[in-house]
Amino acid sequence: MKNGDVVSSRYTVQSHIGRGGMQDVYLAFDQLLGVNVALKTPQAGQPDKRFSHSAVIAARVNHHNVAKTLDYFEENGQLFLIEEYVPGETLDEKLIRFGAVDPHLGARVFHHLSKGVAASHHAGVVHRDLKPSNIIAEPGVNIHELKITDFGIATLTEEVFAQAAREGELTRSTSGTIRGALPYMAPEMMFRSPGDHPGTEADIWSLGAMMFKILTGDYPFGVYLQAAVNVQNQKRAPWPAFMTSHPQYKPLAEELQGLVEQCLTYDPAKRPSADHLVKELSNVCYINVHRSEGSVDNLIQNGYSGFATGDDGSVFFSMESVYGVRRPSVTKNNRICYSRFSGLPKHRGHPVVVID
Amino acid sequence: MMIANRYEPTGTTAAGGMGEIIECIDSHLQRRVIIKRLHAGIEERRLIDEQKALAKLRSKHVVQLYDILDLSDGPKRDKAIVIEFIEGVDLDVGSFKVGLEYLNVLWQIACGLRDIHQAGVIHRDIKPDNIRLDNEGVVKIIDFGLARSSDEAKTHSIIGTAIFMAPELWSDKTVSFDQSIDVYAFGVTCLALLSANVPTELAHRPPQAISLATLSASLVGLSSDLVVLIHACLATDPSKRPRMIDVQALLARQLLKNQHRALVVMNGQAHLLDRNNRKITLNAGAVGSLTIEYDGLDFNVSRSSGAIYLNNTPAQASDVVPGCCVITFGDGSNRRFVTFDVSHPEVMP
Repeated sequence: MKNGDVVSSRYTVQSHIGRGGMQDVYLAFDQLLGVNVALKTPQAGQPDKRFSHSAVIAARVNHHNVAKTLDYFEENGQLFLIEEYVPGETLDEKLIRFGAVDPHLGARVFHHLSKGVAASHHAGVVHRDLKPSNIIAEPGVNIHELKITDFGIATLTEEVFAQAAREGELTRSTSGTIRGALPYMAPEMMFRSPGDHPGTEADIWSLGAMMFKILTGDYPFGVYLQAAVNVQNQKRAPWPAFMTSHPQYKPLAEELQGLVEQCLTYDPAKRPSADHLVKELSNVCYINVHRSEGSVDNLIQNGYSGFATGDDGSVFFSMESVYGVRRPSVTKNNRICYSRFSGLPKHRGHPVVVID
Repeated sequence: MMIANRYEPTGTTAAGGMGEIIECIDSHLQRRVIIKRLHAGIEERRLIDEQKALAKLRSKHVVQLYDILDLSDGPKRDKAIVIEFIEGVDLDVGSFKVGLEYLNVLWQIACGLRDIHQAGVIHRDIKPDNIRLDNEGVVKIIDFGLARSSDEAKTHSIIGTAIFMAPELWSDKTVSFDQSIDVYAFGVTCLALLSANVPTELAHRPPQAISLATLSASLVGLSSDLVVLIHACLATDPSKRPRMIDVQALLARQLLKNQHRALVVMNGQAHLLDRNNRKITLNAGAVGSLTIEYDGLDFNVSRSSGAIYLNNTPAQASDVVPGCCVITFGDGSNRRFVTFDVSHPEVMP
């Protein structure tokens, strides 16, 4: 597709914005309603039936933490899916900047994702490919609006598993696209044989694996084939000490670790449901205040605290407020993100995370 | 018969605020949608413009617009909008009791109206019938009113609609009105969700001013802050009514009552303050001491003696502690620092 192409006399292609597992994604402008949309079309060689099937499945889910399916049609023998366009970046891209996300922002991500997953499970839809690159959030250091997208290999719990098993799901698993999913893939998905029917529990594992990566900056089981080996040997990476070394983060970090560990239970039957996670997370206390970005100006008190300046002014921060392995300084690790709380002559920044 | 070669009517139709309503199956995505036929004219154009403005906003409380169709029956050329079908229930008059669930629904309605007003749109027909609770517990505001200007509104004889009309709409003259008519209707909705018997002042045509005392009697159990808020929504003078963004904020604050947690770290030791443990006194020997108490909404300084600072501001009795702060005891090189961080659950639809 070229920029400027119009499909269905309605959607004007603006730019190519991504390549998913089996489809190309374009930013398009909906002339009829005057809004930007994501236009998806299967890559050459992908079976149309699978694409149309995933469209119908994704369209069943109606929740603000899931990208909405808006339209679907065929034109000149080509299939098109129109999805809600969320301006921003994927969680994958955000994690590269953050390294590890502090437990307060992490709890928020966990809460919202659990809501989205619960809504899709209520609609009988299992995503089966939950990973940070399938989550979209607004640009910058805030994660207020999270949307799960790309029900690429989503499968209807009841109706379609029989078919997937007949066709041999594992043959598809050798493709390159599955490699990106491996670090987050549930054991029963990795080692399934024809006739196995991984269900909603597989999404819960993926949610737990994602939260491990978000809170620690590391993969719970490594990447590529190493992930499969470690999952098989039940060798999960330990929680890093920095999560609980500061008393300001310890209580919340431990609460979240407990929930993540439940999600990463090897026996699918023992994992919590998405509803259970939502219930737990709706009682978790976290600091949910707008985040700012700034640069470290100087450190004082032998490096115990310092000052930083962003677009919205200067803040004072203490090293006790810093989460993660990277320590802010003027020369190295100069960029930080924080919430601002009123004070004199400078506001206070907390929680603080070094970002790229 | 298939509509626009795509939408298959299921047989369910109804007359709605803005025209004929046809429930259909979208054959492309195999899901239910609602088609609303609009009658040609100025109102039709305004409605489509409003729907487009709302589509840009992408509010979780507003129904998704999918498509706009041209329907032509012989010489008649009407437009129709295709919107999402919301699985759930309409809110019922008298179906709530004062409590958390009631507050949550009011808060969500307020969030929806805030979004609608942010898009520059006036709903014009806020009432429980036009508010739906979807299966995920999310409030959706539906059925944007077509005509709510003076005469047309008065001749509209649907019982239950008149009572939601702001006093200024009852004028004999052509009246201009703004978003505050939705705020008034929100105020009446707060009452209607609790009981079908609203105070007689509001049932008058046009409605009369209601005293705070009379209103309180219909809102037993609600915090006085919220009674005052709803009273302001019902002000006969439109300029006295609050904006929905402020209504939303006050409701959100009340929803968090007694849900906060403060983590106090002193000398590496963590202490928690919450609804079960509301008071802490921090002693720093000769420097002085500081007492902080939780009243369910804020953490307040109840006593302060000596050189004590909250984020570098001298601490004084009745100060509200900032959401996150460093408490400094003493001046100069022997200062001691205590961190005080307030968090709370996130209120979500």
